[in-house]
Amino acid sequence: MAQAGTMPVLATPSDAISALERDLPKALRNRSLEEAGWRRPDGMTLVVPLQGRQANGTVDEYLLKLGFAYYPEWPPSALFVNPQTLNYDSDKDKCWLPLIDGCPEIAVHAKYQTIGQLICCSLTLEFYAIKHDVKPEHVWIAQKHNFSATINQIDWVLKSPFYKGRQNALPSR
Amino acid sequence: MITNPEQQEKHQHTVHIKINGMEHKTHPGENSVEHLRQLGRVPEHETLSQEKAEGRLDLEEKGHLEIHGGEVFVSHKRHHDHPEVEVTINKSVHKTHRGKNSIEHLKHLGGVPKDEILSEFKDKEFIDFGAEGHVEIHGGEIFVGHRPGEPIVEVTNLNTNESVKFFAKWDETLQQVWTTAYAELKESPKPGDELLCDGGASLMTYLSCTLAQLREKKVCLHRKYQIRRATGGA
Repeated sequence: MAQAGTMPVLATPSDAISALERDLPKALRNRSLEEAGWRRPDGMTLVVPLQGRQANGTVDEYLLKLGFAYYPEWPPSALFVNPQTLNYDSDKDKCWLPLIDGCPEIAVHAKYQTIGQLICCSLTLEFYAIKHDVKPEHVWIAQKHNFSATINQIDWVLKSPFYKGRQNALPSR
Repeated sequence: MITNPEQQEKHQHTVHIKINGMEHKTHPGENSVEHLRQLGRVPEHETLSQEKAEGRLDLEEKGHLEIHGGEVFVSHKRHHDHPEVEVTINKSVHKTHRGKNSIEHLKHLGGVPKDEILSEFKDKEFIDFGAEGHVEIHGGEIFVGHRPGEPIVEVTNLNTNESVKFFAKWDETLQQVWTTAYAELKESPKPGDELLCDGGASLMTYLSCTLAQLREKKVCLHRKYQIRRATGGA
């Protein structure tokens, strides 16, 4: 199970996939993957579109990639990605990252130490991989959380007053 | 010859019913099923049913029914396998017979007051029943009683996307509804929890408002709420 200061442990692929299959209907809320606009490029990866809503009403589109190699004992890996490559290049893809300012619960770092992008939140795998400090009440508990929590928390902050637009402007065409 | 005036009056007010093809006399008004079974000499291992236009209705052994005259009853052997099934009414499990059950019987079984509406929770929706009529029971059905016009609320735990739906009261505060939702979700409140309207707007400044006040203020009119738990990070 997840705990502070411990490196996450890989799940067996069959356990990870069966947990993902189990929790997927709850996350989709009676929609199909297509209806929700989600994609599953491989058995252990989901790509979920999210929208940021600025105070002035501007809506920005993002793509969140979730990886389930450590799931369900640890939260899913979560990264914002370039919609063309479905990857993140810290030199070129900052425009695909949301700017979260002043939120005490979540931050999005374009380049954190040596790991690159970090969605700093106790509901992402990367948060534990860097051995971030965490209060006991915030630790991921497999019996109390599923990956909906990760999506919902990131979606919440993108619609909160802490959301301030993109980290970099989109390149002009 | 009847000489006692009270007996005479009772005698004059008997009506005819049929049980298993035989005509019997009984008093009009409420009759116990037990009395009808005795009258028709229905064997212990058989169920007494009333023939109605909409079909045959099995009668509860300890139940009562209103007799007007002309009613037709038949008895038949009970189902041998699982003669009774379980239904949930207002969160309590009750046993009843499989097949057609009257709304009146289910309300009586679950202690639902006569002036309340019986509603079945099916496919995540509440379906109201009228005061009369029947429901086909297979086992596992969930019913609740509620007053007419009471609001339905839906609360989702954002940690799991588990949702609960229940009837609240217009004079309940949002805080009370939130407390009920924790119990329904089998969750405990934690410091930092936040109640949101579906869509993300915080409702924390409205917790002391009643649902009626929120309706007047046009706040979260669809009453779909979400519980968000604080996280660490940043």
